[in-house]
Amino acid sequence: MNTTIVAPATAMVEQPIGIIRISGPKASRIAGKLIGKTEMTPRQVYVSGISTQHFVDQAVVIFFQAPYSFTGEDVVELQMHGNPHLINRVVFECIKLGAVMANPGEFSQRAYLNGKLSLVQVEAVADLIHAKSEKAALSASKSMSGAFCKVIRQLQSDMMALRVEVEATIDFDEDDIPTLGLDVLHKKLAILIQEISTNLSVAKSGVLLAKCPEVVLVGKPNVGKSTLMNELCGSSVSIITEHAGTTRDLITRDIICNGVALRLTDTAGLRAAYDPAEQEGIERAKKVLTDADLVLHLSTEDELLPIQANVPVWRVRTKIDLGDIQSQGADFSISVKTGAGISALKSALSGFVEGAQSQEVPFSARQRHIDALERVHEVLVALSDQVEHLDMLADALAQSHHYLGQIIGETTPDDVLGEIFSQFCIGK
Amino acid sequence: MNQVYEVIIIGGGHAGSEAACASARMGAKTLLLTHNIDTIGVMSCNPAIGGLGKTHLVREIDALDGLMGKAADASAIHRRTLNTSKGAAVQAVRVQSCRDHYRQSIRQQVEQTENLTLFQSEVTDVLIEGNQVVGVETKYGVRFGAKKVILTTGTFLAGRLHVGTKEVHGGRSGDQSADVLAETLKQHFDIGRLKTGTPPRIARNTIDFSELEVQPSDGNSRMISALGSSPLSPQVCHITYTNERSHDVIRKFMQDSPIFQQRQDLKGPRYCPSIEQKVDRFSEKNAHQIFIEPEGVFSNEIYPNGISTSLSYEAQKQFIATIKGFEHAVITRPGYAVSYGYFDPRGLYPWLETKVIDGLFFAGQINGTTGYEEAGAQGLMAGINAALQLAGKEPWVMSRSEGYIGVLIDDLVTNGTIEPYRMFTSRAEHRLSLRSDNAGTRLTQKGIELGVVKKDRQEWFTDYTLSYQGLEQQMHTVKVSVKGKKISLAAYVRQPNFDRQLLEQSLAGPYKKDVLEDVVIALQYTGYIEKQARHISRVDASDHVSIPSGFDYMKVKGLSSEVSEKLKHIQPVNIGQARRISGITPAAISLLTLYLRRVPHSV
Repeated sequence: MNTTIVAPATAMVEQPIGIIRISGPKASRIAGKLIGKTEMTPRQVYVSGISTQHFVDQAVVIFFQAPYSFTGEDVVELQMHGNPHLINRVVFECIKLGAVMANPGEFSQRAYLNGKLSLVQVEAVADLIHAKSEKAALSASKSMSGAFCKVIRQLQSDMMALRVEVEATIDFDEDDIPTLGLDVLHKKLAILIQEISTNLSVAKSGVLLAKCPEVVLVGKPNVGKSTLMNELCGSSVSIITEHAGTTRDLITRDIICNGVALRLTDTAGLRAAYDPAEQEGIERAKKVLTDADLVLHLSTEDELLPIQANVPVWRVRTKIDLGDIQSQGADFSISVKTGAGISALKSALSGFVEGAQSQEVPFSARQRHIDALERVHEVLVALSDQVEHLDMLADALAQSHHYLGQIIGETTPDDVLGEIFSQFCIGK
Repeated sequence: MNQVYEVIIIGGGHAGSEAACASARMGAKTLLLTHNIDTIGVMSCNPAIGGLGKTHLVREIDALDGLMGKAADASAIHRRTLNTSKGAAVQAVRVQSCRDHYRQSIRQQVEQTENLTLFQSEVTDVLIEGNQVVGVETKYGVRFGAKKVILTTGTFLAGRLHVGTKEVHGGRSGDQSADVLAETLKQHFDIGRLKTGTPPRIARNTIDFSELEVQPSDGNSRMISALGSSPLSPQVCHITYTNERSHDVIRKFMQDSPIFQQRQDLKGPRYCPSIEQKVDRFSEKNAHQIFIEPEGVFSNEIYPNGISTSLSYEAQKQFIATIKGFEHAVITRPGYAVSYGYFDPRGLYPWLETKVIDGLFFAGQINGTTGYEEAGAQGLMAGINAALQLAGKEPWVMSRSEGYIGVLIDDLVTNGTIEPYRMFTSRAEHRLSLRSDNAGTRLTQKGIELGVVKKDRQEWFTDYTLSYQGLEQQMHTVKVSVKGKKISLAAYVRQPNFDRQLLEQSLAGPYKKDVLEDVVIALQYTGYIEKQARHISRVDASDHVSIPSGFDYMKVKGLSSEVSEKLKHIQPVNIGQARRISGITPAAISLLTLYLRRVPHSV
């Protein structure tokens, strides 16, 4: 365990205080550099400025020397203003100074391996790591925007195509496979590198990656989706009319709900429509469901729409001011008109978002994507002008393919072979 | 028991002969049982040894003093170096063998091995007491006792031959299949079925070679065995092609043959499709190449490699006649497909012992592999491990970074196979360091320590190592001037297109060219591998954490029941193997690692 790990220890949301934790042999050296100290005294509280390329902030810094720390290793905790952007910058700074991004549950894991946790706690940690990693695996593609996902899939398939050509040439020397010139190969490689570096800079700017938890409003026409949307947004964003089927397009707003950020999407009324414009809106609504983190299913009666979503669906009974309230089986009963049930729904929403975010997923997953892309880039650049032999080139390609695989799934040697067999007629 | 041995090998094919000799070389009193002594070392498929990935296996078998490399050199009538310009890690010498000489060489080596006895009889039963193997029983009731039994029965397990619509029992053309033994083993193991095929053989003197492409033997290629020599005179091979007319004939007969469609269900190798499958799947191709390989010095038959088939004899006759050079060709044996039983290799430990019955080992095609080389490699490892176990020693599991044999066995026991498994270089993630040239350096010392390497190879290895080290030292100390700069030879040979003459002139003393070549390759690759090592650490430190046998996965909280069922079924020996099982998540691995590596809590 000689690496030093870093991660935010608090949820990545706007809040008064945000904490970053660093653990491992280089912890005090990295923190020292951030606050301009060559040496740090254990258990002393430093109040110092932290400056990154973009920010200057005041921080409270404490160094816990091994073994008297949470993980049993050298640990430094940085407490600063809880601005997600600022926290990100400081974590990046730590990574630049030699730390690596912690895996889900890695702090607890280290604590456990160093005998800092009891058997009972160990089992709790095990559950935690399990839940977190599963969540990370599940949401790996979800935490990426559709555009970024598309970019990565394209890279993956370009890389596969190149590898298939190279590996086929190597393993099937005597088979009837079109010859692959080294110059052609290098040209293809150059294109691939260009592709990666373009996307890397876009990804780094955060444009493609940014994603906050998405909450989608669905329900039959005129159940009050737009009304709730406007209530939550605090302004009139949806066109509200008395007629069913007014919201034909998706309306998306980023809002702050009880202090946490979330993205709210109002869908077109889900019903069979003959108007072509509305039809399209309904298709889009179905699509947005697959990207959602939470679905609010609104209805004025007990009869519900058949909604297919792999995420939690909360049933919200609306317009309870209209009387005769028999909200059987609904999770929430509200009336925007009277304000009944709105604050309960708001705090449940913020609770859900906080729960989702405290699992570190959006941030760490994104950082990992960038890390992986950077490694791919590094390996390919290193080989582009130095590789004398096809076998070395194939090796570097396999390595970079492996890194790419960390974003959206590994490719096994057998996958490559399978692709070769489907493209070329092998069989001397 | 009529007689007692320490290790019994059932089957005298490529796996069986390597297993028997390895066990005997290590000092175990060994018995090789075969249904026909005259078929020991028979090449039942094409008369060739080696190929990409395959030559690497043979070089490793050879480094551990096995038989295959020496037999390949002794019987070589045509040699070819593959991938000459694609880098040393993927280069391989492949030889065409004379079948008779190959068989003779293997038989000779088997018969000259001390501690090894041959006996001809079909084995009908493996004797088991409790869950421990105790011996075998043969067809006529003779019982042989042994603590270790290695089963290398190839395609003989419930084998079926298919020609056209005909289906007959048999292991390979002309031999009987071991149906009785198969029935016995079915009580203990799950048997899957695979298929493979062969082309028709053709009388050489009925082929018109005058218009065909010639492929001469490569006289400069190196011996496959470090101790090898090739006394036979080289022959030329030829290449011809199928054409649209051949494909028309094949299509016509395929349509008439419902069995063709049915047979698609049986898993044949993707890399070795029959000619009818090629025509079916790649209909846009108007020609498929055929390598015309001589069967041997004394034989008039040739092996037309590339057109294996299970179409009817009539179909074979007609499409052969459409091929250039084969217009008047006479088929001497029709091609056929063979389907056979195999055991799911996930039922084996990485040292090839079955998980169900102690002391019983499986090696070769019976584990779902194809190819002489793959079979031989497993036989060797089973033989070594049976002998080690007998001596009360730890098993030897070759790791994936030590050799292709390690990759082969790990792939099999970890993920099984759904088609006949063949080695390819792309299966080895450490391909750049697992080269043909360094097989001896990688493995012979280990072989000596295990006791599987006999005296003559030990002497070769000492000589080789001395001259290798001498040259390597010179490479670091001798400097040459390049563009006014003095650099070591080691740095010099890493430059692209360095001048070989300048290198040779700069070295003092007599040296063998082959050894120099090995030193140069090693220097070039170490440079690259070290450079890449900065980017990657492929072996996770926790990969070596071992998992106790019979480990209760239910104890690990948080593992899904699907994952723990899978782990329980495969019984990986360490974290590395567990990690490679398909469907095992990284989360499951970290939970497992956590559990196994925990330090006792102080409270």
